[in-house]
Amino acid sequence: MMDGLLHGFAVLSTWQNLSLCLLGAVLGTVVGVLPGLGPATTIALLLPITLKLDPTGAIILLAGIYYGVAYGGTLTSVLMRIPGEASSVVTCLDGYEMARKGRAGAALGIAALGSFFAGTVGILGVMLLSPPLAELVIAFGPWEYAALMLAGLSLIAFFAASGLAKAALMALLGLLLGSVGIDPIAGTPRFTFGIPELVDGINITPLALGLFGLSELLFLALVPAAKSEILRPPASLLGFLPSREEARRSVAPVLRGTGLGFLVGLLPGGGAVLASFLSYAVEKRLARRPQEFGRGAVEGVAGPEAANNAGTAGAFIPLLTLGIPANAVTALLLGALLIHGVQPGPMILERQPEIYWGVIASMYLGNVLLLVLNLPLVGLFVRALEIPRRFMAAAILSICVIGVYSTNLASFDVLLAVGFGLLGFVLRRGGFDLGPLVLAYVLGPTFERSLRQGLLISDGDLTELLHRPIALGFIAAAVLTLLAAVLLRNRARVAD
Amino acid sequence: MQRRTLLAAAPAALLTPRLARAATWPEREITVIVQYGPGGSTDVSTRAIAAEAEKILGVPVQVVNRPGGQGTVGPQQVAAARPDGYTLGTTGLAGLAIAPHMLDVPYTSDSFTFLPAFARYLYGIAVRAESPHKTIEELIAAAREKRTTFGATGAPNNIGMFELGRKVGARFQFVPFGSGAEAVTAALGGHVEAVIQNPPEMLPALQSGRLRLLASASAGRWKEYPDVPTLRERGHDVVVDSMIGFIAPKGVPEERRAVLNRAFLEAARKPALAEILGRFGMVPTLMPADEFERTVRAAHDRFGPELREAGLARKR
Amino acid sequence: MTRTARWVALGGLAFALLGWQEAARLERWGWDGPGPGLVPQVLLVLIGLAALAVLAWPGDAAAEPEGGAAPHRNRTFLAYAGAMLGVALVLPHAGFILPMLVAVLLMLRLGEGARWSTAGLYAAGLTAGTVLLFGTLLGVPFPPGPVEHALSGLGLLRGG
Repeated sequence: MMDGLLHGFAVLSTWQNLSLCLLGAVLGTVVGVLPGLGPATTIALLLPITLKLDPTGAIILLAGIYYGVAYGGTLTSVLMRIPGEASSVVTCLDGYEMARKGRAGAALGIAALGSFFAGTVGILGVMLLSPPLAELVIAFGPWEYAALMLAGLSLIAFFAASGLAKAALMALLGLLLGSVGIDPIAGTPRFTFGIPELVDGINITPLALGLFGLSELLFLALVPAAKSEILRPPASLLGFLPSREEARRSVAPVLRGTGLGFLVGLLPGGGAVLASFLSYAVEKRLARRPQEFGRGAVEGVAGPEAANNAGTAGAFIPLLTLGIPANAVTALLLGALLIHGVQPGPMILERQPEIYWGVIASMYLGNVLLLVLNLPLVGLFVRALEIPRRFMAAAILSICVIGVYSTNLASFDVLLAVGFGLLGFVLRRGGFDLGPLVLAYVLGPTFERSLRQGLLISDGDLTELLHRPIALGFIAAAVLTLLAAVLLRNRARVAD
Repeated sequence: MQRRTLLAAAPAALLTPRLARAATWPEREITVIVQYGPGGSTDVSTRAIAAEAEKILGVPVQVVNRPGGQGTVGPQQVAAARPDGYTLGTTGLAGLAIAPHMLDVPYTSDSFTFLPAFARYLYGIAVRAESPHKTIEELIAAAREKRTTFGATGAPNNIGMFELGRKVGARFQFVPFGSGAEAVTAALGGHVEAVIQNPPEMLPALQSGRLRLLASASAGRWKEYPDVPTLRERGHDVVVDSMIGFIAPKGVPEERRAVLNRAFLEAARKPALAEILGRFGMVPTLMPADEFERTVRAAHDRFGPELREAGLARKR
Repeated sequence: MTRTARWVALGGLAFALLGWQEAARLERWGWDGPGPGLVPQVLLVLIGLAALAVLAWPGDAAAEPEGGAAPHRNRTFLAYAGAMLGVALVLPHAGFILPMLVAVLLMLRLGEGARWSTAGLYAAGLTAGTVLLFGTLLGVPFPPGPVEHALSGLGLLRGG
């Protein structure tokens, strides 16, 4: 193992590979910062270029982009309420509120440190735990997925700060938005109204950029011009340092986020987005002061940011051990490996150890590089908050529009994003929380598809669940969560 | 418009060794609309053949991706393009022979000028290593006894299994998955009893011994598994087939069509293309335009009733 | 806030009814299990019920809606919303650059009362920056339009 890692660092120690690792990390950060431009888009754009590199160099570059993105996505989420990346959507909820209170630096600092910790632990996990975890990936069948999603959905009950009816309406709307497009089992189009762009469903980019970014733009317009600096920038350049209190409150969420993110990242179809949402919901459930969530709770930044980085690392396990890509980005990495004639899978360690260990070593180095790059930049980026609104607003619109367009090269998505922007504006004026909507939109489709797959396999027999201990465990957790939510609500009412 | 044409064509004409070509058609870059996203097997192999065709045609051949609508957005844009031969697209059976039965698409096979196809996908039926079934016959025997589940992404894979089931009197239950990777994972975990997919998803698990290939569902055997027979060799007349070919809007002038036909057929013979195709588990295929068109039309007519029977077709 | 919440609830009801028209055509139960219509139909019924519940309990009546009482009378708001919608509607026909230039100009001139010269300079600078960063450096394809055509001829944008 140590030999292998040393071998990996030896592979990495050529100037070419070192600079590719750095280039990947920097490019990844840039891509993460720019909304809409996902790692999938970028890796795809760079794929032709990597053809000119040797396989090891190409994979180091692409992997660098892949995990660099998880760092960069936070920035615009916190500073402008525009999710730079799908996996940073939840960070908008509390990160931006922290920024509003003048804690933008702290939010970014916590996110960077938490990401570093989670990323590094995640790579350790890839190195040490790959074989047993591969078994876990396989053990997860449709029933287990359905039960896990159900447990995630039950956590919405804790989002109900705005009242149960309102939260329920939002969650149901999210579920319905998730069901748009080709039916996952029968292939029938649902709610597509003959619009071809809707056949593949509503993409998360226009949804999240619209609901969060563009709606915030409309609220900014309503702030009197005298107060037009968007948010309060921190007093000093060292403002990225979290306070002692913030740091203390972040430790447990980062640890939980790392564990949860890593495990969810493993699952095909799971990934960093799911991981960050589940972590947010769990933190809200466990928080001593859940009422602070949505108003700038540091736990709501620390947990999800750790989770999405750990998930990014976890997704490498099925790729390297089973040759199975867990998400769209690792699928592209798989494509890149294949172009170079490398067949990923368990054989890669024997046949091309320099690639396996080169990637592992580059992940360690990349994480260190990213931390070093990001921490000092936080102070700089936070200065961006001093840009007057009129310039900032136009820039936000411009970036959102091209970002949304670039995801699928569909003008229709831009229209969709603007529609969601207006919807988000109205909903927030009505006192609705957007958290349940987005969470349900993310979890719902997997729940429906897995449940129906399970029923197809068991020939419509729900009792099949009884033979599935993992699934039963998740369902028990879901039931307990709902009970706890009801009990806590009643207790809160009595206390009032 | 004219200026842009000149700007684009001039450097290309200088670069190509065959200066004489610059005077004839084509005189500017050709755009190929790929119906799936970048990085996948269709995209990569189209880029590979485009690179070869570029050398033959003497003008740049640019690949753009228009994914979406289950591979129908790309053809839709091709159908709507000007039929001057400068805008082409790629398609397989999914977009032209299968999706029209399931979705409302504004085109039919009549909306296109067909050009050659250059690659075929391979299909295989496999079970996990722990499965008691060692041969395809054992799997079929089991499916005659009781309903047997299989994972796949959709048509034409599932249609092949239905056909097999009908011919041998067995019950195969289709369980759809979002991607080939998910279908293979489900088979590895024993959640479904078999899987029918393409080599890229299956090879890693096959080579590590976690998955056992029972039969090739294509016309030929897999080059990695020369000992595993095809379904047809086993006496079951079922072949799952799909290919990548070029299409253009209806009404491309005959002489331009001839130029493109020649160029793509020549490009499809290049060893560099075969190399890339092999890595993505595809077989190089020289399929002239008329054969490609016949195949697509025949598949369209055949899949209609099959999909309806499987309850997968659009209700009218 | 309660007024907006009630409007949203009414919107939700209308949405549920309209959605039902579409969802009712989908099969509730397929030949081999739950069909494509089951989940959407259940969801729409629940949305209707939840909307009724919100209508009954729209929340804290005293709370001021976020963003003040009358956004539709705010010039900046109207300029921003108009710019957004305008760009989205024109994008498929005129590309990105031209509509964006106009939108930024209007946001700054009409919405913020900036001088024409400031607005024009910033609009040009911002659009050029976006094109260079996204289009030239990162190679993101832009929606086709007249200016995009010219720029792709110069090699600053990917043609498309």
